[in-house]
Amino acid sequence: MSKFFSVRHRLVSFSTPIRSVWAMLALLAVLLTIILLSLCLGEEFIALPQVLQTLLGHADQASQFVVETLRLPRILMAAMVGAALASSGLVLQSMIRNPLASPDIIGITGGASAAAVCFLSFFATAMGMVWLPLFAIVGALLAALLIYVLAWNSGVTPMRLVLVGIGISSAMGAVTTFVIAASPLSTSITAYIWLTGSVYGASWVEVKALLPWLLISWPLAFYLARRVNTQELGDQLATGLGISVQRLRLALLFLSVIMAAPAIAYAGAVGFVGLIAPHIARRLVARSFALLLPTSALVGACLVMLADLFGRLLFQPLDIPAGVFVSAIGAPFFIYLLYRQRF
Amino acid sequence: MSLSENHLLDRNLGNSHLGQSNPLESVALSLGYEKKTIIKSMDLAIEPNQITVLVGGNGCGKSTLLKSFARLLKPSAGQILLNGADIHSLSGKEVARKLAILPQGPVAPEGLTVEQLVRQGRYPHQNWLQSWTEDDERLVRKALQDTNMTEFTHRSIDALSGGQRQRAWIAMALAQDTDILLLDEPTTYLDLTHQIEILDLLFELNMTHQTTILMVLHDLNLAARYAHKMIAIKDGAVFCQGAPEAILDHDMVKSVFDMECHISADPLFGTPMCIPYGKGRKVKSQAAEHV
Repeated sequence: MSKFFSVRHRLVSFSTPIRSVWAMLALLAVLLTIILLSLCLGEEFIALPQVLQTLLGHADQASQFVVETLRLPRILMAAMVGAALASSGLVLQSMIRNPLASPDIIGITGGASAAAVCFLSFFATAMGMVWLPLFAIVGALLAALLIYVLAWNSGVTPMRLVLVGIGISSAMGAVTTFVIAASPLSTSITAYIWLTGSVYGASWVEVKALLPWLLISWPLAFYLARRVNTQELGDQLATGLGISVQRLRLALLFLSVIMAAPAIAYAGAVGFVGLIAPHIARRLVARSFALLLPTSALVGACLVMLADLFGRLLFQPLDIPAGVFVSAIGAPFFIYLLYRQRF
Repeated sequence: MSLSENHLLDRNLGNSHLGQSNPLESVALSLGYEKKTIIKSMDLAIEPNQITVLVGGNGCGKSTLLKSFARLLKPSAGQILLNGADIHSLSGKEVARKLAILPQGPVAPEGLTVEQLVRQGRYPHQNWLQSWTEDDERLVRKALQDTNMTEFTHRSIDALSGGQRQRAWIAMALAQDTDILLLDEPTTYLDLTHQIEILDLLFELNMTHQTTILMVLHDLNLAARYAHKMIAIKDGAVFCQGAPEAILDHDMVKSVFDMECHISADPLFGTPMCIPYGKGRKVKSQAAEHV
């Protein structure tokens, strides 16, 4: 079949629809364009040739500082955060077999937020801000664990997982609101900005801290890809085809947490990406987890980078958190997609 | 002739097959959810290369039994033997290479194409690096051909009719390339044309590939037409088993389904046909009724 790009070797064999390969390459081009655009644009405009020269290491110190110290880590951070949240959303939607799942809906983001806000109110002054990500990650893991344990009833069904998750999410929301309300104003403001989600002031340190998480979780997700496809047919069929559904479900929940939690920890509770990026990806490539994963990640990366770019540019000198524009760009586009699907 | 003796004889005949090379057997099998027992210490043998149909009233345990034969349920006591080996001592993939199951009313993810679905059937034969070999490709093509689904290869499952959809699922099970095929009410929700189409397909499959087929069917008359062997389940136990023409009679239907009926021979196939009594319009004269 000419519609497939197939590789058959003694060691490796796979087959991929060609249309999907083109879609991913196009997305990659969009991603690179947004990166270059984001490097050029800002309070100070730097022309593309100069940006490229800077990246190659020969340019004047001023633009070197703007490009390499201010803009590049921030852009990469936005890309990684978007990719991570989108991947996490895809993992959850596949596991639950419901397109309405995402880390912010089933309580993972809620757990991270509650932990982060508690940290900001009670520990930040004593311990210093460097500990915030660790608290957020632990909070997300604890929330996920709680969801899993409460949903357990000689096995976990997707529906119970979602319902318990929504419950935990709103409970965590209550904790978050209470702590913010009870805190002094300065802490509340910091907490509020963190909750919206922002990559403002991201540095190479944070980029390097977030990257390893992706390098661990991504290969794991690819490793599970075929199992994920099969379990989407339903528990009985998946078991009949030789999958241990319960073990896979636990692995996927854990995977979604280690994808989303670090991103949330470093960039705050950026919402919506996890929900819509997989949807957009499904419009672009064939319905296979191994294709949807990179596609969702690319879409998520583009979304958060664009959101951050708009946040930086539109209301200068104000720097609006990326989280605001993720919803502002994402929501209309999402509704447009759903609207178009009807015909 | 005493009917109960007849049933006992059949049951003993069923037992005598134990130990021979039956692909699927249950030994003192008990099944249940939490405190409720559904199947009580059942010995049953499914013979090779035959179509076996489980019949019985709602909630009699036949679907539960079918699930346990596919390793979807753990027995509370006893064993299921797949080619002589305890099915729970085998890995899920090992079982899936020998036995395929199509549960009742499966639902495909939105937007999945027929081909993508059928490809899933190859899962138990693949590993991480060998994710798509020529063998896989060939067996998927063949499954699509055998089910007459080739023309719908790239169609989305949502866009198919009920009969086509069921054929797509059967194609997936065929792609699994197993000697044993288990189906839970494969004709539910299908109109009569499609019911016959699906059962013909399974019948042909059994004829050409000698596939051992075990399925649950609700329609006694169709069961009698297609089954080499019928197993009637009542209250979690085998009530009787044997060729439909040997066991399907008035007393059996009365006991298993608690229903009065008249058994007559199918005018086309000669297999037994169950005509239930009940209310309804009568257009036939009273005299002709007792012929």
